[in-house]
Amino acid sequence: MEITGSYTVSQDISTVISLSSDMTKIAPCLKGVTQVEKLTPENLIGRIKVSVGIIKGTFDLNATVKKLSEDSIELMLKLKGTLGTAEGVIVVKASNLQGKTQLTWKGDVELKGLAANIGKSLVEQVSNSLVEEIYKCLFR
Amino acid sequence: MSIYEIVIIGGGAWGCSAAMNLSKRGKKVLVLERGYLAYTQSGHTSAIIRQFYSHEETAKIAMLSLRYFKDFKQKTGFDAHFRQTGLLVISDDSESIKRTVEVLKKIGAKCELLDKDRVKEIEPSISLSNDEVFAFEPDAGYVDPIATVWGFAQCAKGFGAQILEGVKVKKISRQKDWIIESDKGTFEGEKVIVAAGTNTPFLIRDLGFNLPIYLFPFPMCYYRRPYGAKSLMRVIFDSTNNYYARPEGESEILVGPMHDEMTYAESSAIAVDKNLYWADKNPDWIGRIDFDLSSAYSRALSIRFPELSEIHPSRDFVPLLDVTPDWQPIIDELPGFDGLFVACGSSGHGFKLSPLIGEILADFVISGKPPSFARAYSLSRFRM
Repeated sequence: MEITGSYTVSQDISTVISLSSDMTKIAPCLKGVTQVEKLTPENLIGRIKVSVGIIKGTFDLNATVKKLSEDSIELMLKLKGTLGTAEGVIVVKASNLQGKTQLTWKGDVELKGLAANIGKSLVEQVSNSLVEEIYKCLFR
Repeated sequence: MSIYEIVIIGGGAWGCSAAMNLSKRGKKVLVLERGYLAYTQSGHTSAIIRQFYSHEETAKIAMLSLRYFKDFKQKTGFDAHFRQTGLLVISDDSESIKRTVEVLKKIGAKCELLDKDRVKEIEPSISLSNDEVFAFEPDAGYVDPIATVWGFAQCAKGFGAQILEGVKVKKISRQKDWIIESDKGTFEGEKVIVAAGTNTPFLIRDLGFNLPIYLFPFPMCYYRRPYGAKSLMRVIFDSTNNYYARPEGESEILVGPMHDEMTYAESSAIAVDKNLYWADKNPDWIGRIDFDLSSAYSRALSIRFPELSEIHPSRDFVPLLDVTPDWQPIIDELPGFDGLFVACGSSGHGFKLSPLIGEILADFVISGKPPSFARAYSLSRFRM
């Protein structure tokens, strides 16, 4: 399922990309992380508790971030649990918007297993709110 | 052609329990099963017998059914192999657990909240978090589902019911009585119960009914118990890590997914994906789980029980559950079709309720009026 969204912050593009491409900065902004097994600037492996609407559960989390260019990054997320798996690749682009920086993201999220059968219609909403929460937290 | 008083389509737990209850009351009953007894859902169930529901009607039926399972041999003359293990519930949602315990206390079922120390006495090698709450239902356990259906069926036969396996029903229509056309001939009944699980909506489609049923894949996996491991000798609901499990004899553990609202039948807000609507599905489908899921189950088990970290899958299956929009069964006479009853949409709760569902169906079919227990499961609660 395709997801798209945007969020505007007051910092400049270079600061935004620098913070957004560092997993050690993103990790504290991921709500519900209960266990961290590995944390580097590129990668987070751990366990996360998700509770958004009917999607409630504890999942293994593998998140990777990669700087693609001076104004774009790629975020890869895999959640795996007994209720199913969610895998997504999201590309975030930063652009100047009247002196501020607009982050625009586009990606695909695939849901499998039991969660797909009860939460498919929520994927877009849940994914967008998770990405937005990360940026709100990073640039508050 | 013989005319039966009641023809039951479906030789699973509900159909055979109804056959037993009706034939016991002197009715001339025929059961038609397209495969063999317990061919589909009843043969692919965890067969956990518990009362832990926050839906009061369902909890009451579960309580009365559990009592029946305990006395199964005395009541039917056959053994369902009930093993009383108790049920330990672990959750990080204290409100949901407390609410369910209150419902059970209200209806008179045994259930209590436990503290961490008491849980450790029950399961010494368990790993617990500070934000978790615990409940214990001592009477719960599990049965052998095939032996249960067999017991209902044999008891029904003893009271004169006829049970035909390998008969695939093709069409149900109304003349003076109900005419059931099958691949093995035509049968006639004054009344008909369709208790054919996932096939039920397909069987009554020709009568113009689109039942609000979704066919929901439900993955279950058996694991070999590591040699000497003493953990998990009872039923466990671990909603923190989203699985339920129970012992399967001495050497295996059966595991399935767990979602609070689904398991306690607590919410009607679980919007099942539209792609699962029955008309687009194969009701006979039974699938397999993939490696991702089998390893997610074993990881969840080993987080809770470190001594199970070497657990290994041995076999698995994914049956379809027939689920309604509010995750409660449908037990009703079809409006406008006197004498045609449906019992379906068990939403994963059906097997454990089967002793009472059989009694409820028998009362309903004989009297023509819904018994009080059936009122919560009427079709009229859905807009069709």
